[in-house]
Amino acid sequence: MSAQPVPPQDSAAHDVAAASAPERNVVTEAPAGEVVLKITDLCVRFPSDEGPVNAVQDLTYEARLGRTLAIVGESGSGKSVSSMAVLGLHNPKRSTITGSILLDGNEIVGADESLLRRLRSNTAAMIFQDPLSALHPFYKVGSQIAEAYLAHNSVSKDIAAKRAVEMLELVGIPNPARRAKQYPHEFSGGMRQRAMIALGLVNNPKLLIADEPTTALDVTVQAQILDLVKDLQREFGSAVILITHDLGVVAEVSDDILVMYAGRAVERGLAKEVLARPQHPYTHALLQSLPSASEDSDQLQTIKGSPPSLVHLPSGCSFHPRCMVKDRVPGDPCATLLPELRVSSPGRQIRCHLTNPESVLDQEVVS
Amino acid sequence: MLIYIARRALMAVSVLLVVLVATFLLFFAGPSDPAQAMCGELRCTPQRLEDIRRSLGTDRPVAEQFTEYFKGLAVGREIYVSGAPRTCSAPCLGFSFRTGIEVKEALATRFPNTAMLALMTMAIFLTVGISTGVLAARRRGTALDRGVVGFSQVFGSIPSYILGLLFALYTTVLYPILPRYANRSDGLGPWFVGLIAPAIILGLIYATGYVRYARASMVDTLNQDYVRTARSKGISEQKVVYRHALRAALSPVVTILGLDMAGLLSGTLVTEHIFGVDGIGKFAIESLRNDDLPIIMGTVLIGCVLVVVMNLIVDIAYSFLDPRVRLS
Amino acid sequence: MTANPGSASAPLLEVEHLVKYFAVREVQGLTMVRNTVKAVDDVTFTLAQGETLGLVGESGCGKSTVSRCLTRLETPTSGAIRYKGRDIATLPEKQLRPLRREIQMIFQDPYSSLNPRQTVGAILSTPLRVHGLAKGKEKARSQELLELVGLNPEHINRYPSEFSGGQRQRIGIARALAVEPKLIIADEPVSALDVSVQAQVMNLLSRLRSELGLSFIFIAHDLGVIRHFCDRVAVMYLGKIVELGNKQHIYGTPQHPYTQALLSAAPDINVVRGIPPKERIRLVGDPPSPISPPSGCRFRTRCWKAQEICATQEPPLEDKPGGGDDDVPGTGDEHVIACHFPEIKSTLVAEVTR
Repeated sequence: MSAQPVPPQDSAAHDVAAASAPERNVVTEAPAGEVVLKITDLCVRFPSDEGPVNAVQDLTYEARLGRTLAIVGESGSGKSVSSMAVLGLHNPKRSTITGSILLDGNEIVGADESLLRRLRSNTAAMIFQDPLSALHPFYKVGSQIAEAYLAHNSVSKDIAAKRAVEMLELVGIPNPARRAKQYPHEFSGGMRQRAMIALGLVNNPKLLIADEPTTALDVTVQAQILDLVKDLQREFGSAVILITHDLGVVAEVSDDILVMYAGRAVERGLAKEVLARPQHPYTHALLQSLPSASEDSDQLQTIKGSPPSLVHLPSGCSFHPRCMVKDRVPGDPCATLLPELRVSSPGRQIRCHLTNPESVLDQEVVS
Repeated sequence: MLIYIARRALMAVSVLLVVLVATFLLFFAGPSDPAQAMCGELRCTPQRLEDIRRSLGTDRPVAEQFTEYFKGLAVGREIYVSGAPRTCSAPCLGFSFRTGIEVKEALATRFPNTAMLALMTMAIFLTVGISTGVLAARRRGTALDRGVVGFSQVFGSIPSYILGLLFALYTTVLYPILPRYANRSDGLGPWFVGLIAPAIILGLIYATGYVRYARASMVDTLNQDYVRTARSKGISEQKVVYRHALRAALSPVVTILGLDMAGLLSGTLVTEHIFGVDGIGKFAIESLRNDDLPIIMGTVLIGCVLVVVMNLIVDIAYSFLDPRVRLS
Repeated sequence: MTANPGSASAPLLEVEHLVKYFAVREVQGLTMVRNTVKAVDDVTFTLAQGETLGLVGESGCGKSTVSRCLTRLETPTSGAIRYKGRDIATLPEKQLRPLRREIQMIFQDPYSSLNPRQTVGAILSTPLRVHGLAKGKEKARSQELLELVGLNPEHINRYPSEFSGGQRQRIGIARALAVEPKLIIADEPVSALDVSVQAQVMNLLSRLRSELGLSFIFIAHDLGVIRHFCDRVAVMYLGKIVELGNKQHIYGTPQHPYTQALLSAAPDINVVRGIPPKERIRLVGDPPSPISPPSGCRFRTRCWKAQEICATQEPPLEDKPGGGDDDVPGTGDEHVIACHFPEIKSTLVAEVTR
C-alpha cells in the first residue's frame, strides 16, 4: 500500500473550515467501487458467567471503495463488536469467532498476529467514539500519529513527525505544527476527534471504520466532523463503515445501511430507500419513535419492552416479543422460526416473515 | 512545571513544620515526664533526675523548651550533658543519653546501611513485582494468573519476622550460601554482599504487594480505549503493552512506591535486627530498649521527614509521568 | 400536549438575573491564576403553572448549571429564583427543606443515580420517610408509584441492576414523584437511553405531566425531543439565553443565528425520511471557553453576521419588532432575541406537508 504524503493544498478540509456562510448541501450518489471488505456468516461469541453471549450472529455484508456503509443499532446490537472483529481486535482467548472476514483479500478470522499488524492502520483503520479516552493521555498528539506511520513505513522519525503535522493540517486543525506538540487534554472535543481522524488516515487505508465518531460531540461540531469525513472520503476514495445509533447521522452521510438488532442484521439496502420506506418492523418502529424538530407531535410511537439479553435470546425472530405486526404473519411462525435474511425487493434484504412488509407497515402508521 | 515543583516544595516545607511541632509536643508536652522515664525506676536518684531534666530542658516552661528546640534545629544550641555544656550544631537533635554521642552523627553513620538496603530491596521488588504483575495481567484468568495472585497473597500474609528468621537461618546459618552482614569499615565489597540476604527476603515480601498493585493497574489500563487505539495502529504487542499500557499503569504504583521507600529508608526494625544490619531500624530498637529519648526522637523525626520528602519526590515524578498533572 | 397556560395565573417560577460563577485555578505560563468560569451569566425567565420550558444548547452552555441552581444543588452567585413568589436563591438549608419536596429532579444517567445496594422499595420509601409522607404506608405508596410509572409493583424488592436502562429511568421518575412535587427539573432524562426506549419514557413523562398537573424545566440537547415535549424553549449559549420563545417561534421563525445553526446542524427525522431542508448552516470551530468568553455578543466568534458592534456591545435579550410573529409582550408568550442583526429564517428544517 502506497503511503504518499497527501499534498496539503486544495484539501477539502480547508473548504470546510472556511465555510461559515450558509451553503447548499448536495448529496451525490457514490459509485460502487471494488469490494474491500467481505464478511460472510460472521459469528462472535464471548463466554460469560451466565452462558455464552451471542454478540454477533450470521452477519454477512460487504464494504466497497468510495462508499459509506452505515451499521445502525442500539447498544448490544453487535455493531461495534462486528467491526472490531474486522481489525482482529478481539482477544482470541476470550472470544470465539467463526465465519469469514476478507479484508482486501486477507482472511482475518484466525489470522496470525503479524498479518493483523500489517493490515491494521495500513489497510483498515478505526476511529472511536470518545477521542479523549481513545488517545493516550501521556503522549503528544503528533507523536501518536507518527507512531502509526512509523509502524508501516521505514522512514526516519523526523519524516514521520512531518507526516503527522501534514495530517493534522489535512483534517483542518489550525497551527498544526504547534498542535502536534500538545497533549490530547489540551485539545477541544472537536479538535480531538479531528486528530483521531488524522491518526486513522495517516497510512491512507482502504477502509476506515468510524465507531460512533460524533456521539460524544455537540451537534454543531458533529456536523463539521461528518462533513470532514465525507470530504476526506471523496478525496481518498476509501470505503467507510460508520457505526452509529443515530439515524440522523446515517441520513447525512451514508450510501448504504445495515440495521442490526440483537446481534443480527435485520435490514440492508440503500440508506435513502431504507430510511424513506423501511421494510423491517424494527426499522419502521425506530423511525416512527423519533420526535421531530420539524413538526409537532402529540404522542410518540413506541416500541414496547427493551432490547433482549444476548445470553437468553428470544426463540424464533429476536424482535418478535416487541414486534407490533407479528400477528399479521399467516401461520404465526415468528415465535418459533428464525427468519432468513432474504431479498424482499430489488437491492433490499430483510430478516422478517412478512411477505408484504410495506403494505402492512403502511397500515400501521394509520392505526 | 517549575512553578508546580516550587509549589509542591513549599507545601512539603509547611507539612514539615507541622511535623516538627507535633513530634515536640508528643515527647515533651505529654502527661508523662520523659526525664522520669529515662531515669529508670531502680537506680534513679533525685540528683540524677535533676541532671536529666536539665539536660532535656524539661525543668523550664514548655514555651521556652519549644523555642530552644527550634533554635537548636535551625542554628544549633548548647546542651548540658552530665553537667557540662556541649555545643550541638544545627540541625541539633541532641545527644545520646547513654553514650553521649551526638544523635545526628549516630544517625548519619547508620543511614547509609539502611539506605543501601532500601535501594537493593527496591531493585528486587520493582523488577520481580512489576514484571510478574504485568505477566499475570496479560494472562488474566489463566492458571498462571491465579497462581501468581494466590501465591502473592499467601506469601504476603506471612509475618515478615518469620520469613526473615527462616530465610536468615537457612541462607546464612544452616547453609551459608549468602554472606553475613559486615560493617562498612570492613570494606565496601563485603558490606554490599552482606546486604544481599536481607535485601532478597525484604524485596520478596514487598514484591508480593507490587505484584498485585501492578496486576490490578495493568488489567485496568489494558482495557482502556487508548490501548485499543494503540493496537489498531499495527504496532507490535510489546510496544502496546510496554509503551502504552505499562506507562499509564505505573503512575498509581509510584505513589505506593514513595510511601514504601519512606518506610524502608527510615529503617526496617525487624529485618535489620535479624540480619544484624547496623541501620536506623536496629538503632531505634536499641534506643527504645535503653530509653534513650533523644535518639528515639531523632529516628521518629527522620521517619517523618522521609515521608514528606518521598511524597514530594512522588509528586514531581508524577508530573513527569502524566502531563495532565502539570496543569492542575 | 398541555394547554397553553396563558398569563392569568402568577408564574410558578421566576428566575431573574441568575448568575453562577465557579472559581477555578489554572496555570498560565509561569503563574497561577484564579479564574472564574461564568457558567451562568445573567439568565432571566419565568415558568407558569403547568407549563414546560425547554433549555437547549451545547455542552458548556450552562443549562445543567441552571438546573442545579433551581434545585439548589448549587447556590447561585447572584440573582433571584422565586418559587411561588418566594426567593429561594439564598434560602438557608433548613427553610429550603419543605420546598425541596415541591421541586424534584430527574437525572440523565439511570445507572449512576440509583444506589445499587438499595432495593427499589428502599429507594422509593426514603424520600417518603424524609418528608414524613405516607407514614406507615410506605410500601403501599411505593408500589403505587411503581404502577404509576408502568413498572410491576411486585418488583419492589429488586435491585436496580435487575432492571434495564429504560426501567431504571422509570424508577428515577418514580422517586422524583414520590414526594408529590409541583415542579420537575429533568436534566437530559432520555439521552442515555436506547433509541427504542426513549419514546416510551417521553410518553410516560407526557402522561404524568397531564395527569398530575406538573410543571417542567426540561433540559436536552436533542431539538426533536425539546419540540415534542416543551411549550416554550430557551436557547442557551455560553451561559446566556440567546433566544426565548414558544416553540412555534423557535422552530418556525428562529431569529438568532445560533438557534438557526443549531436547528440546521441537528439531523432531523424528516431529513432522514428524505425531505431535506432548503438551506444549511455550518458553524466553524468549537464553542469558546466560558472562562474568557468573547466580549460583546458571545456568539460573535462563530457567527457569520458578526460586525464591529457585536464585539463592543452586548445585545440585550429583547423583543425584535418586525419579527413577523404576533407576540404580545407581557403575556408570557413573547419571543425575545439577543442579537444585533436578527433575521427570520424558516427554511432550515424540513418542510412537512401532511
